[in-house]
Amino acid sequence: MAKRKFEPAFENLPMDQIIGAPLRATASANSMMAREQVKFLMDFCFQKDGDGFQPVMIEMIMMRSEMVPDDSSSKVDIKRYVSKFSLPLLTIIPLNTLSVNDFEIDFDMEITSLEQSQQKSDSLHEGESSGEQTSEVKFMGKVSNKDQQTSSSQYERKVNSKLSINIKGGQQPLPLGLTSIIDLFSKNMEPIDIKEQDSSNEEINNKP
Amino acid sequence: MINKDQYIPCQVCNTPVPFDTNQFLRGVSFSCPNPKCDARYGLPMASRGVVRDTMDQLEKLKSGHH
Repeated sequence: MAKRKFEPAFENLPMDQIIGAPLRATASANSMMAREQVKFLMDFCFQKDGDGFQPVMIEMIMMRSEMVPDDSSSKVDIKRYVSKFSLPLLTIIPLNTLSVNDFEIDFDMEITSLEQSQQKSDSLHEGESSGEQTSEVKFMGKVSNKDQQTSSSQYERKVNSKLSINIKGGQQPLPLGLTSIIDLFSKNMEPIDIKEQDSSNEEINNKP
Repeated sequence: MINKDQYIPCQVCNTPVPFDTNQFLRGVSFSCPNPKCDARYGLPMASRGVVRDTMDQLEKLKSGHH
């Protein structure tokens, strides 16, 4: 079976579409990333509870020591306390917002035709015409390449159009709403003292 | 590397305590940076499973394999 070579129709494309298509693609990629992050947040950090959602809670422990004077020997004893508290999982997951923060389109355009249209401009009032004539010029063209080599034979000329798009993504600050939720959760923790240190806490190192 | 944006307020003195979730998963505890406070925070074994699973899912999301 003979392979059919795909040759896009580069001629006579409206200029606004040549510029707009990569912009729309970038906006769509940004929106897709945001949707995925929200989905992750709702799937793993919250659980459905009736009509609403409740945060998934995890348990953490706090260790502290206190100096207690020993009346009998005039020495000071160090008493260690271990408290546990519940914390929403959301507050310890390193969430970040990734998005496109720099976008550059670089291309040369060869104008292949012009379309001029004249129309009566609309009045500010609905259904009325102001009677003024406005003209609109639409550039039609094709993306061309600076390095395009033109062959001596017209039939051998290659379609060598190139649109260079440079996109830089980066970490953005968390949205204010999410930061507020995390802050609110973090500030509403209440530690409970554990009388006896259980074995589950023994594997915690005291490094940093 | 400790993410400075991530912190929990100290339950004793309310000073923000920076932490790294991956270090929590390795059993490391983080102490309150207030020199007058000696509170330390850790993640008990019972909580590590759910945190590890969520971190794995986050990694999958970041690498596009989800």
